[in-house]
Amino acid sequence: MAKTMNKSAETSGRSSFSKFMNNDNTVGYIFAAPFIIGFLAFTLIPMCISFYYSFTNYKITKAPTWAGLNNYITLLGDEHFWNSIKVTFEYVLFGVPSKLIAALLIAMLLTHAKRMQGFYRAVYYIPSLIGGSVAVALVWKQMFSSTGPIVSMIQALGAEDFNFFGSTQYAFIPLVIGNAWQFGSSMLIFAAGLKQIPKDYYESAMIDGAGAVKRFFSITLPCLSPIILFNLIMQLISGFMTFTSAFIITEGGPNEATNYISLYIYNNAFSYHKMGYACALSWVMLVIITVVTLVVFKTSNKWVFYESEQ
Amino acid sequence: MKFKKVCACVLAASMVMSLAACGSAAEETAPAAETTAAAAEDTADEAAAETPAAETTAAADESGYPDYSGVTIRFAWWGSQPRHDATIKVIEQYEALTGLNIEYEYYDFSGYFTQLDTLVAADDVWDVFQMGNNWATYYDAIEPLNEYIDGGAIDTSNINAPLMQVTQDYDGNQMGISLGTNCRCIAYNPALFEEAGVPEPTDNWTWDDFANACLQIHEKTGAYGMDKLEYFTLLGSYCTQMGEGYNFFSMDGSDFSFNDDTSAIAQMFDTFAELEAAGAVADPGVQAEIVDEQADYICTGESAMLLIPSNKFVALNEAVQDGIELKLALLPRLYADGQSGMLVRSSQMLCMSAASEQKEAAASFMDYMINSTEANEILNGERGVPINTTVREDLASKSDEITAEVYEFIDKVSSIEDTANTTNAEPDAQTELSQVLQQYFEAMFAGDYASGQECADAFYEEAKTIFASYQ
Repeated sequence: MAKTMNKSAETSGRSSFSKFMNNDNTVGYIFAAPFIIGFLAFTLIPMCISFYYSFTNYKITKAPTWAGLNNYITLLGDEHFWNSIKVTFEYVLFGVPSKLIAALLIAMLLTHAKRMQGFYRAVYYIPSLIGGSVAVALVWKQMFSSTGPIVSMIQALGAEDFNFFGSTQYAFIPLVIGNAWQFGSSMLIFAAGLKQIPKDYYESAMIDGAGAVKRFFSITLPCLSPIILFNLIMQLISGFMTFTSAFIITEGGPNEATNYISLYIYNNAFSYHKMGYACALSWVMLVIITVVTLVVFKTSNKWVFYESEQ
Repeated sequence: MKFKKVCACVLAASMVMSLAACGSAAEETAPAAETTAAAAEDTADEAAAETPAAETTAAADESGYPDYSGVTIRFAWWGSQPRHDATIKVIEQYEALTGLNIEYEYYDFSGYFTQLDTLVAADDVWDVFQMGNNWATYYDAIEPLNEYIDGGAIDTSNINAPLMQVTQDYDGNQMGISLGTNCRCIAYNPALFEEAGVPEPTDNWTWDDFANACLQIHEKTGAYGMDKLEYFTLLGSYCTQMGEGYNFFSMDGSDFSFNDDTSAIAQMFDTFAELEAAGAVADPGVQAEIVDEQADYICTGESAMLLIPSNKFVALNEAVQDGIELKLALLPRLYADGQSGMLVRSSQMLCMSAASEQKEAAASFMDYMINSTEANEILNGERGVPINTTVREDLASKSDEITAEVYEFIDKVSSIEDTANTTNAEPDAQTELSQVLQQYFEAMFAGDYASGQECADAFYEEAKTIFASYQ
């Protein structure tokens, strides 16, 4: 009798536990746990701390002291900061479109290729996997260096003293090209988008005598515009955060021509030990990225075309 | 059909290109990976061989190395490959002698300080660590060594007092012990001077002589006069050479010390802007490509001079192509009969962490690094001329021609009387000032300023703001 009671108690215990475990929410949270823990530990908590530090005078080697709005006031009068904003915008202006155009171009070529499509797609994705690494940045540095193959070719064409990284005007070009080369993820998204465009549109356009260019601008671009919006925003955000190539290849030079804001933040934090100021800079950067993203969203209803709204 | 073919061609061609790019990436990284793997194997082999070695030395040597079996300390330094190899050998030697377990880490210069910063913030600094003259930044993390010197754990009986003072603060706290002394100097290639028909540097040559030599050499031979510039050293030299009592930073590093007179700085900007415009000095892009002495154009005979710390001269000589012979010269002066602006100082030092839990073992290891002849025969003065007199004599007696030249050079600089007027201070603000100075040089090269004076004044204005932000 006692045994049976025990058993029933156990079963009811187990069943409430298994009920808990089988609850949809529990399962959801457990599956999401790696992300939740990572998000808390490496994103949310550091963000809160950095918000606090941005109001302090914090040199890494000494304890922080409260500084009120001082960091934000200093920042307004900091020429290096304004310069970094300027060059970052320049980089985004050239870097993002060139990457998106490269991605779209390759995606369109790939949809036409009949054989080994999967293979090509995988191969073209490789640069996106390795492209952000230090090793690749070093390779770009070699390729575009004053004795590298590309500068040698340009010099052979007549520009004798030409040198990318010695010129304040052209130093950013290799960085933009290196960035455009990592078009893989945008390309995959474009490729998926291109497949969604119904073939009938093209067929009827061809019957009406529309050429390839006309078809591209009147069918492909409008139908793809939601995808373009998505890619544009993703690339804008990553463009504003560009760091590795400037850090490894140009070190911000020459004459601050590639001293992008994330590099300036890094230098303030880890070279000059002005952690408080660096935190203030990164919050300003967050605001700037948010505003730009919002502007793009707000203007999107002027050029993004959703088929469902027809 | 045609379109498909074109498509296929374009795809294939661009794929080949990206593969080529991948290929070079792989080549670039592969040898590095191999070396690390090889290095790992090496250490593993040596570790395996260590035990019997330890027994033999312990048996042979009863001269009283303490027994630290079971104790572990952490040690880190920055430097280049020869330094890493030599230091690891010394560590293994000391482990064999005392049973102490030393966990070591090594980095390049900037990586080292990034790592140190995070460890300082976490209050978890290595027990023993290498430090430059910028120790003021890390003051709170460093354990003063006075107690260990007075207690005899670190023997300083063979070290001259002035060489101990170079690593003391103004209150006499021994912040560390110098691993060697060095001074800034110019390594030059006499063959290029001869080819261009310019006289070789003398002991009181001036910046005008220097500029003239650069221009002549570039014009006659096509080589750079000096490819890479060490801007902050130039700034310090120009300021110090203005006259007795002048320096960029005051002796204790608490202020500037050139009476607000920016004329020398203006002259510096003018001179180097002219040299850069003529191509006698490398443009900022080429300079950024030269990551260390080994990559410098002086190694291939395409540059005539290089400003280096004297302890790098040996490694530089190993890196040059066969047939290129290098000599050492003093830095040029502002006035031929004026201040030299030279200084013999600690090139780097060993510090003990204030947070260390094994301070006694740490002190003992530091003592070995500084005072042991066996250890220093392996290190061979690569960090600078050893400060221990016995060690120094031992090394000098066994040294080759090039090392001897460095020793002679240091002696020569020590004998210059006005070196006492040159400041050794590296206040907190130096890193940022140095970075900003480079930006002013590059702005000057790019033609943003009409004259050196304008650039100098703008720089000084900003330097004051930066300096104040660290107070």
